[in-house]
Amino acid sequence: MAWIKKRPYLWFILPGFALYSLFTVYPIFSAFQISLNRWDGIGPKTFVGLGNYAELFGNQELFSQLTGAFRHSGTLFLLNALAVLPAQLYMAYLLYSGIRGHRFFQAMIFAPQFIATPVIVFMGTLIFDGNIGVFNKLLEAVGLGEWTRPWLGLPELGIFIVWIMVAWSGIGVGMIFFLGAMKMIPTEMMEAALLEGASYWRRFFSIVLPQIKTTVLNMLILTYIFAMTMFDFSFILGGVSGGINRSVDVMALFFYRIAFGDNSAVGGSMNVNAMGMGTTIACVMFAVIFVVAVAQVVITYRRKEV
Amino acid sequence: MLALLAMTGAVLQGCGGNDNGNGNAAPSSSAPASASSSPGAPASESPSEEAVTLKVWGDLGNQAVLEEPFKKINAAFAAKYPNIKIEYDFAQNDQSLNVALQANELPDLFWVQGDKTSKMGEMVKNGFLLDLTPYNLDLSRYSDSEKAYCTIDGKIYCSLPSFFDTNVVYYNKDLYEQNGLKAPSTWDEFVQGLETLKAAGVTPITLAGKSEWDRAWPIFAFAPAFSNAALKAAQTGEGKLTDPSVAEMLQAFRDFVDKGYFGKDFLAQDYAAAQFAFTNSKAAAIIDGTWANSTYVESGMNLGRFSIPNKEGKKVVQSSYSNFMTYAISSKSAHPDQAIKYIEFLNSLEAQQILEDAVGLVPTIKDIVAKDEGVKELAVFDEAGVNVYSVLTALSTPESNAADILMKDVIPKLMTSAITGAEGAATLDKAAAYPAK
Repeated sequence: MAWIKKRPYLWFILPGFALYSLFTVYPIFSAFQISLNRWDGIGPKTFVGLGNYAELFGNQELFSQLTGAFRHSGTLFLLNALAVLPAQLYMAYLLYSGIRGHRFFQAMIFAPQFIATPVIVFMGTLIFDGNIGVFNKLLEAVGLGEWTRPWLGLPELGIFIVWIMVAWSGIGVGMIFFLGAMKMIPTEMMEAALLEGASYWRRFFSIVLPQIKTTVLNMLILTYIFAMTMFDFSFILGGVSGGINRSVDVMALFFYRIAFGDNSAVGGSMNVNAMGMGTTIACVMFAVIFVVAVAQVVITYRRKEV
Repeated sequence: MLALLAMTGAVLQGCGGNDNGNGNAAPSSSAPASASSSPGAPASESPSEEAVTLKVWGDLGNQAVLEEPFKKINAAFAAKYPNIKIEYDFAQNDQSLNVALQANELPDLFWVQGDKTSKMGEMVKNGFLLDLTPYNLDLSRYSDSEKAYCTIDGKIYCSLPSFFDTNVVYYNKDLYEQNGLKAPSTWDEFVQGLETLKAAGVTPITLAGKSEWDRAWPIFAFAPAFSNAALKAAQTGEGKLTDPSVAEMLQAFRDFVDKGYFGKDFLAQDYAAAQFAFTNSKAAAIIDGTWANSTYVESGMNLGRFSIPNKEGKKVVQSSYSNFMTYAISSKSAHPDQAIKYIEFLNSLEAQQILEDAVGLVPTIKDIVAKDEGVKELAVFDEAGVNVYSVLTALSTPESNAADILMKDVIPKLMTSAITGAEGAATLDKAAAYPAK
């Protein structure tokens, strides 16, 4: 008791800790516990130890679906990290330096965030659809009629079409984060740089970027988590199977397909083990995200100590 | 976040699952109990006076075709039984049914596919469906095979089918005539016609590559034409799916892909786009089910229909019963006596004629009057053959579903030219569990 009395803040932590444990920590462990069973979600469970994990990595079909989904999630992350993130930084810097109409652009670029995913995909359909899409009409108008294609659902473009929609809808979020971080930079510092004659881009690379490094790293990890858990775009575009050749399949959709969707074509024992294998995949997803998140936290904190 | 939500869901289902496990025995033991009480009150007696509401799930995938007839059927039912309110929702597809089964939240009535797939048998085995046998339904209009559709282990579980489904080639008569073609009488003539159309810059057959079922209709149509005997033999365990005619049938589908008979980028087409290409005269034909007949009639085009002939010129078509009116009652329904009235109504000529007048299916019961001449054209064939999906379902076990492997694995791989017909047949053979001779 004396130990607790010396640490009164524990009482303040308790409510949050209890809720967090109940709704976050417990489900994770409970899911892990289910993943050790062979279970179809309805009938009785049979304990199989790590058998589900062995099957996930050992069954050729399951493993190829896992790697395929992971590759697509990884592609999304890389595209977002290498193309969208720099664009977000650039736009944030433009707005930060107060270009004409910056308030208008800020609102416009952030606006897609307010639109629900199904609507975004529908708008994507209006542009890219083979029969009614504006993009094909545009190609015809400039004399490239033979290039017209039903863009949504072409297996070779699948994940890139998903990425275009994701990028369009999400580009404003990171930009707002960066803009906020830039506004925290002391104005004296920027004024001093101006007086010293630092150019526009010199100020960006030597002052702004180092000052908001933590935000950029945080954004990077959020981008990673998003790419690994993204589900809605792929599900709406490709259905539960993830499109032809699973061309828009991602990790979360793979989990959903095995746990709740039709999985009988996977072969093996998937019909009678949907929940067991589903939770196994969920646990693997958790590990994949957790490892990277921890690594990122460690790196960030070490830098601060130096 | 999503993963966490899903995990929470999984946990919740864990609780539900246990309840269900304990309660599993209950439906089978309580069914005779409720049955013994209801024949005591004969079926002719009017249902209890108080108004009840029945939740019914309709076929979401065919809402476009079924919305109008079911509105009329439900109105006619309401006129007959004013105390029973029907809440009819087009809410059911494979996924919503699976979720409802896992959560044990089935509506009072929902559509089933009888013996066409393994699903109804599985639901019966797990105690989800109400046994209708004790209600002594009047089945005098029906033949044995129609009764067999609804029967599991000698007991009836759904309203009976009264229409026949098959796949035909719907073709644009104007486009065929412009290219000097007519409905073919042999397989070779059929393929030559496709070649002519392709040379003329018309897509010979449009295919909805994105849609799991609609892209499979060519296979459904080719299967009885190429390998009716082999599939029948496989079903009884006297033959195997490695029979060369099965490989040849799958290869014919792939050849159509390779030769471009399905047009450019058909993989990215959904069902609506495929229908659009056909009704818009961009494609000369579409292989579809008899149930979609009214859609093409209403487009106002110069429409023709033929069944695909085999090499000897014989037309062997896939045949199965339509599941448009086959509904089952959940064993957990609070109003089984009222739900049975709906089943009785679906079994009646009145309801069946409403569906026929709206959709124009091929009736299997003589007293239903066919809608028009076009309906008769749907049934021009020499022999009713097997339904490949039903054959593969019969060869499936809970561990390995050969029918789903055809739909979700073999067909997509044939469409993308990833495997040959022989490889596809080998995959199916590996998945199949043949009955002991």
